[in-house]
Amino acid sequence: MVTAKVVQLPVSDEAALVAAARAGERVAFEKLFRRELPSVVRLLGRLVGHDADLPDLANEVMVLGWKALRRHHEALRFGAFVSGVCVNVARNHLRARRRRRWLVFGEPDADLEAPAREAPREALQATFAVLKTLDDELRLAFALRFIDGRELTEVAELLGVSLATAKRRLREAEDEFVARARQHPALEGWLASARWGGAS
Amino acid sequence: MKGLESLGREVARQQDEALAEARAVAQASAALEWPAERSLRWPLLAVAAVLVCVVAALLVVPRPIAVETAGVAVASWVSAEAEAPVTFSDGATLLVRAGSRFQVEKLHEHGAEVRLERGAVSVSIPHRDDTRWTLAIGPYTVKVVGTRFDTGWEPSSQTFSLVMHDGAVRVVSPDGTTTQYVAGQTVTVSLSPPVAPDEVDALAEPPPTRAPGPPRAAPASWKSLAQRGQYGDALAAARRAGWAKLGATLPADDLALLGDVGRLGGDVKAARDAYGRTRARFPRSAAADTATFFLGRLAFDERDAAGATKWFERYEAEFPNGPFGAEALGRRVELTKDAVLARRYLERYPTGPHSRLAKAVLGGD
Repeated sequence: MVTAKVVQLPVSDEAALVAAARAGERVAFEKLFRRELPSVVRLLGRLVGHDADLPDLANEVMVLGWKALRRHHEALRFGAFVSGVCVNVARNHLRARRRRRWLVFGEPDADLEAPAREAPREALQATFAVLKTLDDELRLAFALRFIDGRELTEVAELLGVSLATAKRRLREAEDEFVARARQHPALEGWLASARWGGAS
Repeated sequence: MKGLESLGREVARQQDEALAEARAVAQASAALEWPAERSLRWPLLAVAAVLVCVVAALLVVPRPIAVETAGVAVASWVSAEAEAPVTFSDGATLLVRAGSRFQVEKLHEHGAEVRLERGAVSVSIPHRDDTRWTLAIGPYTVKVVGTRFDTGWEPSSQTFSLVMHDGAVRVVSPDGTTTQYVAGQTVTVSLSPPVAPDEVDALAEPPPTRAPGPPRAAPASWKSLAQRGQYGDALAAARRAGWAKLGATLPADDLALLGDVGRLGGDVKAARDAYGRTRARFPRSAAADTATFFLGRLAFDERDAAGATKWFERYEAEFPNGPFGAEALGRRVELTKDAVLARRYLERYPTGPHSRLAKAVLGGD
């Protein structure tokens, strides 16, 4: 599992900024958000792939997060709160992208890996090529669990479903991913290695 | 080492490299900006003004409710080959049983007028102050203001049946007398003397109507009794025939019907047994589809939220394109008030019977 480089704020600092943001201080919110920005970009990348829209999506997370925080009256950890907003923004983006593909025949795939680099990242490219074919909810579950390395309870919480539903979606995502990944030579080695990680 | 987790770690590593090369965080940081709120004020006010006008127009001009089920049109007779739900825009649902023939005669702003020529229907109509639904069940008229009940009419035996689950209805008999029935009451009225099963099958035309008589028990097989809507008698007949034997030998559709007999005859345990056997013996069949949904309905009616949720989730997982998909998902929204489910419901069934509830869960989005 890749360890996320999370900047851990002192509790009092984060709590004070969250309180100020809830009271309408947008500067306080932006300060909090900028500290989380690396995590936000990374998570959005996990969920939607390497996309030219990543900066816009991060901006959308900030604007929606600002509105949502002021309606959110329970205690929270800001990082977890922003992750939840990221998932919603990613979900909407995937849906919109799917609609665009229907409307504009032949639009190039946006969620494949960025081109032209010294070492081709075949696993990355092939994985997102397969994820692109999955149902959006299955794709989100898969990305959170296997690429972002989230625990099952976090996956359920971020998707807004029960633990049982999250497990079921992960099982389904895993089955579909493995079935479709067999058509990609770059993933053969991974498919062949040992048994698959279970969702339970 | 586990394959998917290893692959995930490698993908994450490669992606972190790619994001770093593309200076994605720096780009995102440079792109952060707040929308100009002032410039949005006048366009928003204009949109709000238009919305107010539209809403006012909708309030002033009453519009009839609509049928939301494809293939069901006003003033057209429909014969149901299989059990199927018919939904309306006011949230009402008629679950029409196989073999029934019915017609939506008229739609108005407070409800509808429906005629059932033969067969049986489970009715669920949300209560509002101005709800006005009328169901002509054979020669009987059932007037509804918001309730759940099962009713049926079997022309060959001239039998009217009514099983009340919630609320109250007023029933107008062929002789013009009106009787109110409330939750928990079961009524079976035969307008003709009981006939033997063979005679029932041989009847090409319904016998002449006679004066209303008291409830009677016809000496017939459990299945023919069930098909007439006489579920209490059907349940007793099925027990006499050997419930366990029937459960082990009946074909799929008959076994699901046996579950209906338990459910509509008032024996929840028997219903669960038959539906459970349907699922076990005929998994993934159309009968198992029906059985799974009604296992959820039984739990729902008993206010067993966990049990109902389990069955409706299972329904969605096992029968994603099943005929009760909207109803199962809608009832999950009803039980959980979960925003994700509400959103999914509105995406799949934007004008479905639970759409108002789903919108309310999402805060009027």
